[in-house]
Amino acid sequence: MRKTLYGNTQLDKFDVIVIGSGAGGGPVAHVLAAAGQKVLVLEAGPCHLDNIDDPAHDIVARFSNDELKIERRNFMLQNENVEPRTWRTAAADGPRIETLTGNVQFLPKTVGGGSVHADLKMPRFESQDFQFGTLLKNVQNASFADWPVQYDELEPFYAWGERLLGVQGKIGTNPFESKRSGDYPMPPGPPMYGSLVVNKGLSALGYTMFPYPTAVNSIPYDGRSACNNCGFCSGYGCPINAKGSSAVTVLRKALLTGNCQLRAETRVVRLVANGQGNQITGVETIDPLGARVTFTADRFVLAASPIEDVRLLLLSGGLGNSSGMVGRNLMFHYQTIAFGIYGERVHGYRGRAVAQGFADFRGKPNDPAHPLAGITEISGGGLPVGEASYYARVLAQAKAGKWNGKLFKALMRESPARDRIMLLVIQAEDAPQVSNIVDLDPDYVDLDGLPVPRCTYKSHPFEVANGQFYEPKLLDIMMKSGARYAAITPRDDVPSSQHIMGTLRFGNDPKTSVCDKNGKFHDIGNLFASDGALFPTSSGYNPTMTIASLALRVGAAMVNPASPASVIKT
Amino acid sequence: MSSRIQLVSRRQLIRMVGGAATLLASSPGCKGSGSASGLFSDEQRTALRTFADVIIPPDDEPGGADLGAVSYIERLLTAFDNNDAPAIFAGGPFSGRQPLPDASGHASTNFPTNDFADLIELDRVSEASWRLRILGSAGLSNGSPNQKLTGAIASLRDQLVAGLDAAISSADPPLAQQSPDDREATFNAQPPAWKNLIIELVTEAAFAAPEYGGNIGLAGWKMCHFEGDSQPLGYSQWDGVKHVERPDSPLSTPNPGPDVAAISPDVDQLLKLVIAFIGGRTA
Repeated sequence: MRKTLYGNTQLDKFDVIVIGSGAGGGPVAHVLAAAGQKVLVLEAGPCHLDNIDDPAHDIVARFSNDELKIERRNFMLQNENVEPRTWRTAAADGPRIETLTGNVQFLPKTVGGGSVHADLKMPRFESQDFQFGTLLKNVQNASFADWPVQYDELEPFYAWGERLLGVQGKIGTNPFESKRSGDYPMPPGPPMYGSLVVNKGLSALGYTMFPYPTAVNSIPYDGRSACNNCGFCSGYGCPINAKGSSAVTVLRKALLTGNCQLRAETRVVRLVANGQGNQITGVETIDPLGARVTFTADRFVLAASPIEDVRLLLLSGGLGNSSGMVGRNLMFHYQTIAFGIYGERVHGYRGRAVAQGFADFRGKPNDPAHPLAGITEISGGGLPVGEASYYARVLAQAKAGKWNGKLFKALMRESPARDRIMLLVIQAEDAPQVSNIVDLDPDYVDLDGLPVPRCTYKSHPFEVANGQFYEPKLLDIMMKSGARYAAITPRDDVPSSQHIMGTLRFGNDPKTSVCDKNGKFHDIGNLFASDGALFPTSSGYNPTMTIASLALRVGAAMVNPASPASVIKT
Repeated sequence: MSSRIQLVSRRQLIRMVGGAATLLASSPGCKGSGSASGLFSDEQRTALRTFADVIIPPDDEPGGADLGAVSYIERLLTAFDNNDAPAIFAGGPFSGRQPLPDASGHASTNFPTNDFADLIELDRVSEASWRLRILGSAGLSNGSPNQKLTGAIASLRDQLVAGLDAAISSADPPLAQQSPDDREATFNAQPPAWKNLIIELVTEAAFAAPEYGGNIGLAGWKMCHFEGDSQPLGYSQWDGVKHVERPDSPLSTPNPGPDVAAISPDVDQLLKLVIAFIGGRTA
């Protein structure tokens, strides 16, 4: 049987149990283990990183440039036939509209969580993003709120996180970035040719392209090799560990302290609370062989994703919900996507999935000339198995379901949707709404017979209108850059973004928030949250850098509540 | 993850394939077997090759059959037929097809071993998921998780074979006597959900890594002018001072030489049709 137990395997008494090993869990484990706390990290998925706990050897990944394994066979992602999710737009839809859909929670289950599959685009939020409760209070039927931690207070943790995970970028290149205390730990890597082609349009229209901050090594860094731009990046674990996932950075550091134990394929199914429900005493798990095992500790951290965190609280009897806000304000970034197909081969499938971007469409609150949307990623096309599927769908629609093998083969050879395509993806602000909520489906269960999460989610007119504002501008860029064909991709009804936020909003008022400024539950003295569930608002920048930085701060506050910043290692 | 271009939603695709599963769950048992794997009769195997060549027709390069569609499908559908690790996930990190870089950032003459040839053991949840997909509800001792709500799930094997039998029966004259155009017409007359399933499997065979049983001789990747898995060479290497790019397949500059297959009038016409349908722009 393969290995599922890592780190200090002799530990059997723990100060803290961290549920989840991704961008929210790994940083907390690192901070606590470094401070001498005995930490148990429980991860539902398997570990594909041999030697992750071996100081004498480099990590050897089972990840590979294998499109079938990753994109089709769910090597990392949830399997919707045994772990379904359901979705509806509102209670009026009935119990659900969609069943057995993975789109509503599309994060990997593996050691390192979502930070493994991501191409780790790591921009910080802007300082304005922490103040929309004040700046956007007039948006009807939205629940914008100020963050209890403002940018200036989070900035040292951003800088710490960038050092720990290894982020490349260049200070001053994004004209809209907020004040930084220093440059990025690494310079930008080489650009992708397709980005340079797109930049012809950006330059002509007065927009500013910049190197996308990413936790991808542009040079050898912290014992890990430089990225060689293999092309299998977004959605793929890195075969050479050049991506700074939680697993190969902070979690490995935690395991090497001797203070941390990692149990993979160990799924937490219930938080065990005292009679008053204000203290957690243990967690009930299902182990790799399917047996029920309980672990105890003094303190507990939820970092299993905004949807799974809530599910676990509800499976445990509805803990921590005196505010009535558990599960509410579920957010995904509202994506507007344009594609351009060029006469020349721009080979956007080579390289990091996204090497450049621009923030001219991030906008400002209450500015009709520049409505609030988000950073725009300049991305290449996919790979051949996926490409073949796109053509199959196109042929089915354009040819009334009639297959045309010769035309299909011509498409594969000429490759408009892989070798000649570039995408522009706006990751736009998603207005929080109390009515967008995670709860338990009343009927559907998973492999272990447990109720599955149900997402009730509908986009707000705020983001819909803002997205529509920028659609023609995206097409202008594509055509100015020389695209022969360009369009906005049709939207799916089910939210499918992997940027999942909200559900355990943090704030200073226990009546309107679930957790406090330090991530501790208002109602439960020894339970914390440390992932994107804490976000009161979504910003219009990729969330992972902020998740990791906030998690570092949660860990630091667990070590020193009076002065979390004093815990930062420079 | 960045979003991919999307013309039919993933949700719709799942629904189409799922529809076939529900339909076939209640169909009578499939015909006997006669192939080496015990999976297909000779007639079914021949029909599968025929339809693979409808999906990817042979010309001066191989069609779907010679790209390994049958061996790929047989390998997938028999993944749980013995006690070895199921052939679902190839190993990593390297295939051995690309060389290690040398100190100057260029390709060396040393190649890593082929880790793709190893198989990765499935964890508890993945094994249940794949048993359910390949063997249907009968593949799990307690059936599928929501069987009382959704009904039993048909095995991939039954879905495929039932559709093949139906296609064979509907062919008039028999497939062996039909021209390539008639075979395409026979294929197009089959239920959309089954067509989607077989298109998915045949194209996976053609364009996935060859360790899964298809893409024989890397002919699928050659056909679409794709370099394949690129590690550990990648498309750029840090030489200690700068990134060195592959001269044949550069990262930050245009490809050398002329376009290997420029946009043809037929493809141009199709793209214009699609762009007009979704309200885009053309130059």
